[in-house]
Amino acid sequence: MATYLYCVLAPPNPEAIPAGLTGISGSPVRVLVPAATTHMEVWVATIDDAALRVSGEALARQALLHNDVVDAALATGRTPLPARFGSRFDDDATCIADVARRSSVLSAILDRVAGAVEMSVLIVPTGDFLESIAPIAKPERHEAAAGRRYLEVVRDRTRQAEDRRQAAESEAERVAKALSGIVSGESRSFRAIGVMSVAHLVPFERVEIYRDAWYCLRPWR
Amino acid sequence: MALDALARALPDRINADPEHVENGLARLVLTVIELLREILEHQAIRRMDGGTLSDEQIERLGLALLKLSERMDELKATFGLTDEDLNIDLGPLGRLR
Repeated sequence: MATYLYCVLAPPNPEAIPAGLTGISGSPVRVLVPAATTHMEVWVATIDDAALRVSGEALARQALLHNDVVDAALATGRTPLPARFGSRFDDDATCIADVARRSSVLSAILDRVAGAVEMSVLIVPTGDFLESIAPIAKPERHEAAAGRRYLEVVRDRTRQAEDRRQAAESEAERVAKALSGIVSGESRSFRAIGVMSVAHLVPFERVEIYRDAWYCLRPWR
Repeated sequence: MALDALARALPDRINADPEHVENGLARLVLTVIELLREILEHQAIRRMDGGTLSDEQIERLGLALLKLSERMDELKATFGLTDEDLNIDLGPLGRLR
């Protein structure tokens, strides 16, 4: 058996956890308040290690269950710091010791996200732009000047990727401009396949305004 | 459908299951090799565009990299990996490639 960590919350309020809350493999979710860090609590469950040794859709189901527990934590009116999916410890003491060891870093992040929720946005290429970035085929080895042609193909592909990144950045800028004054923080990460993932930190009281602002951003380009 | 999409979006992990550890290690090793291969390609293109290579040198270099690319495709197929699999999530730093 192992201790599975779902999230860290502040300030502690062990009574706020919903009665009968269960997570991965139906194990009851419990609250631990590390003695060394009385300003936060952690939500954990005791689970069988075998429950973590799954893949594919079973793994995806677990991720959704993990997310459900984090959502339940958010519903207590505090902003949880979700543990990375699959965070497993030998026992409660090991888990608490790990949280206590990183308490200063965790506290700083909890302070930053207090009173806010994180909204995820995916920016993906569509329409004409998607067609303009059709794959460039590699030459066959027996073709004339295949070596030079190969290097040219790689160069063109690199330029395509840069075009995709710039297009995504441009769209992210448009979004950021429209949402300025609503979000309190933003981070972006670009995937080579052309998708940009944007995370917005939105204060609770501005969530509805944030959602309305998205309607003003239409039509999508 | 949603589960399938989520399964692909889950954080990458090295599979340490004894029955699949070979595949997990192959993925890690091929990721590093792929990164080095791409660096080599970018360096070759820079030199080609910079005019410091003769036509013959460009052809030989390009062919060598083309063969290396084909070999990588074979290895990926052997281990059932795709280009997207050859990546590592570095947490706050983003993904390797």
